[in-house]
Amino acid sequence: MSGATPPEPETPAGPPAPPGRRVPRRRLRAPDWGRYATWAVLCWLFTPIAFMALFGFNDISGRQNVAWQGFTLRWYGQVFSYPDLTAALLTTAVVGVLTMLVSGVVGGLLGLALGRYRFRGRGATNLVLFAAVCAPEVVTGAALLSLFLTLNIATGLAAVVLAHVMFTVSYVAITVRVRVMTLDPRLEEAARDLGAGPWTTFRLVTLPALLPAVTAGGLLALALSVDDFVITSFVRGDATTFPLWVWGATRVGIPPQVNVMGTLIFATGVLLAVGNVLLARRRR
Amino acid sequence: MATTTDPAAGARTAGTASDGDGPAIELEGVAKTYRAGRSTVTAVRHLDLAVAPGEYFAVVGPSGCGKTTTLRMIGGFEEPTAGTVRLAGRDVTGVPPDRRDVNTVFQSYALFPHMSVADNVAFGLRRRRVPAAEVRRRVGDMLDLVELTGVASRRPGRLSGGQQQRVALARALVNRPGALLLDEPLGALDPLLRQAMRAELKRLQREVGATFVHVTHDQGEALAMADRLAVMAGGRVRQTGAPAEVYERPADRFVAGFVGAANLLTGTVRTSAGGDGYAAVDLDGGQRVRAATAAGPGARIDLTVRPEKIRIAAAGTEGPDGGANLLRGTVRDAVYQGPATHYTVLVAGAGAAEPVELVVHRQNSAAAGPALRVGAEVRLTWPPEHSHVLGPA
Repeated sequence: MSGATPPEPETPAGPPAPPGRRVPRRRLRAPDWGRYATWAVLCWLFTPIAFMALFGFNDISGRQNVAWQGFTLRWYGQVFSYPDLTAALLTTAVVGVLTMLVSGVVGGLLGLALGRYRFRGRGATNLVLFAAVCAPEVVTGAALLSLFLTLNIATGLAAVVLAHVMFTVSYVAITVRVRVMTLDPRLEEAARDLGAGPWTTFRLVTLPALLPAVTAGGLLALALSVDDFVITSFVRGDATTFPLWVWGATRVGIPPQVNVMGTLIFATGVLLAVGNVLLARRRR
Repeated sequence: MATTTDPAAGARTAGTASDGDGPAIELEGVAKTYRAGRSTVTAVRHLDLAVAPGEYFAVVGPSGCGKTTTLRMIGGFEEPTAGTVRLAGRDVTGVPPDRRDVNTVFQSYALFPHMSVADNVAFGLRRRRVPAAEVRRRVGDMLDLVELTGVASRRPGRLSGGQQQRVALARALVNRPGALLLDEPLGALDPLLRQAMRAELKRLQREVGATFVHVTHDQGEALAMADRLAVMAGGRVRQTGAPAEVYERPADRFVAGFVGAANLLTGTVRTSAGGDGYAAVDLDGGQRVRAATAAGPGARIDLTVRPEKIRIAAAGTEGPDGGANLLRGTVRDAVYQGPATHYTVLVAGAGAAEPVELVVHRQNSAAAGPALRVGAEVRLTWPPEHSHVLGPA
């Protein structure tokens, strides 16, 4: 600092307050509403999930899993004791992974094209993407069913995957498009300048830069697919997914295995999300 | 065109653009227009340019003059709408950037964020399938040259701006390109670092002996660094030449005003040049000066005098003027700048004519007299060879 700088008149004696923090005296007076609100929202979000997890440990004897009877790990041991439920879970996993892969590739390329190039139909494509996100699922589901019947496409597993890709691809495309738009186009030019052809440039420079966004979009697609009830119920044919089995079981009582599976699905989702964040951070 | 070939240029590896005497880079009748909706925007109109091997060439101009577009057409990122681009005599118009023997240092550096510094520098060599051992050796040598050996394994995001700049330089130079293209390479650095990097860039160019084309909007940078420079405006080259040539003998009003400070004067030739080559010119303010011009009596001419060419002295300290131009005026403003003081002097016109303002820089050297105060009567003298007559702007 040069000596010409005048001393700050308002600087109090003693250690300077860290930037962005108020002086302690003031903080005592005003309650920290921000912190209370954060905790309230977190409770709001996680209480139902906590209840679901808790009732996976409920030591019940009949089929009614509504009142707390005591703690047991039994249901974790017998998690696959309903063959239909296990099959439904497997179907959901297969549909989810296929949806994630197809939506990830198609949506990623779509996002790249929309973010990078100006072409005829670009505006229309953007509009369609948002329309697919905004359209009520009931409408989409019913429309898909009529479409499949008109085109003589058999309902069932393949139809479910097709439908799931249709409504999740927008999420991937939108996530990737945002990333592409913040990407310095000079990066690709630099790769070309250094002797890389178009494909090598994509493989070594563009793809690594877009991968976190593609992964995030793909995980979103997976979560949406695993979760979907409305659209699936229209085009399922004789296929049964996990949500559909649970819905069907409500009439006779939901077994605690459903809670166990729900907890495990939730845990997998959290692990994948955390893993993607950690990977993205390491790449920086 | 005179090729001022650096002796170091001949010492470079075979296979680069230094073979033969032809220019390393040659643009012939190059033009570039963009379509913006229904209208077209002309970035570059009919450009002819030749850069000699081993030359440090600067392209300087205000923003929007087409200098970056020109550089991008040499690099292959833009295709000219008309004309030919030649690198070392080979027509490369339409050839993609990955098949041109030039490398670019981008203004934003464009370092690959997911690769280490060493992998960034090795990128070009690996694309050309250089053996791993040689890649390692050349990357190591290059990082030594730019003094970045200690950070080879770091990600570019963890480096300072100056370090990133040097990585960008190393990544381009390690390929020993026929020419290195630099787009505002010092633009993103703070002023102190910029000064240091000027010397650093010159040192690098001497050591590797490559052809450098440096695009900048900073005329001081261009004057200080270039062997030759081209001044661009409105998509055209206004003047090409050595820095001293462009500064001392600007081609037109634009070059005179853009490169350094200039006093621009307008007048009419009164009597054509005599035996000494100088014509008498009546300035629009009524003052008379002498300048070298072939124009006949009655011709309107623009002329310019650089502020440091004018001698300023208090009125009454008459000395021999030796045929120098002499004007009398009043100091209107004096700005002390440390090594020099900049005076604005009002030279009264004859009769109703507008007075003329001249800027004069006087070195505050030991030999300089006492400072002149605002309002002081002064006499301005300069040898007639420094009244430089401009071409039509």
